[in-house]
Amino acid sequence: MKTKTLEQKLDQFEADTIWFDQHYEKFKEQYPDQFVAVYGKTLIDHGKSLDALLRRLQKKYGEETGDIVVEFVSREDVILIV
Amino acid sequence: MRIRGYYRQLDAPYMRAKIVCKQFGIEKTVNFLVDLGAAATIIGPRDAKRLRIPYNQLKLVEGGVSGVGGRAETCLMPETQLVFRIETGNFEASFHHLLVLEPVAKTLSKDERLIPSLLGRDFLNQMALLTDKRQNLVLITDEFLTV
Repeated sequence: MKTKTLEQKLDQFEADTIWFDQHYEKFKEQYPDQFVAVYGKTLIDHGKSLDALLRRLQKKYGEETGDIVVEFVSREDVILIV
Repeated sequence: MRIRGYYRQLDAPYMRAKIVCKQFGIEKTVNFLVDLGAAATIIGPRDAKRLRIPYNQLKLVEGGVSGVGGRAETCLMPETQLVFRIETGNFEASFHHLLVLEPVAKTLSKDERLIPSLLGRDFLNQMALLTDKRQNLVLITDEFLTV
């Protein structure tokens, strides 16, 4: 398998992030208050426990885990002021 | 040199970067909210878990760090690089210490789950920042822009 360059990895991470945002409303219905993992514009895993999800990703994807988008899907609409 | 970002939910500008800390074998990609209100760049609790940051090996910031949500325990991750994508390849920004928010408990609270990592003024003030939601434009550049 061809190894991706750092630039390709960053581009894919951005594309996966945008894909997650585009599907957020659907995820809110399907996976409320869960963490979801997106890779290659595909939802690859989800769960309520972030630790358990990260363990599964590490086991299955190894070093690639670092390039997987992991986001929390909040059931409620939250206005974030940081 | 130009680093391009993008707008995400709630019309917030983001940049993605690879975080590299050789001392702890960390090399992972993170989305940063571009935040001129933040004095320093900081890793949020959810990303900190993803990065598997060894808190017990990091120095605590005395007195913590204050934000809108209150005061939080914060650690210093030594000798860390953020690698950004640019037109001709990548650009590396080095941090002698990068701030990391430490989760209060083993399981993240609901608020902690939502807190993003922030790209703060310690980085942004070295460059020019251009944002225009109408054009979906988020740009950081070392060029001197004139208006």
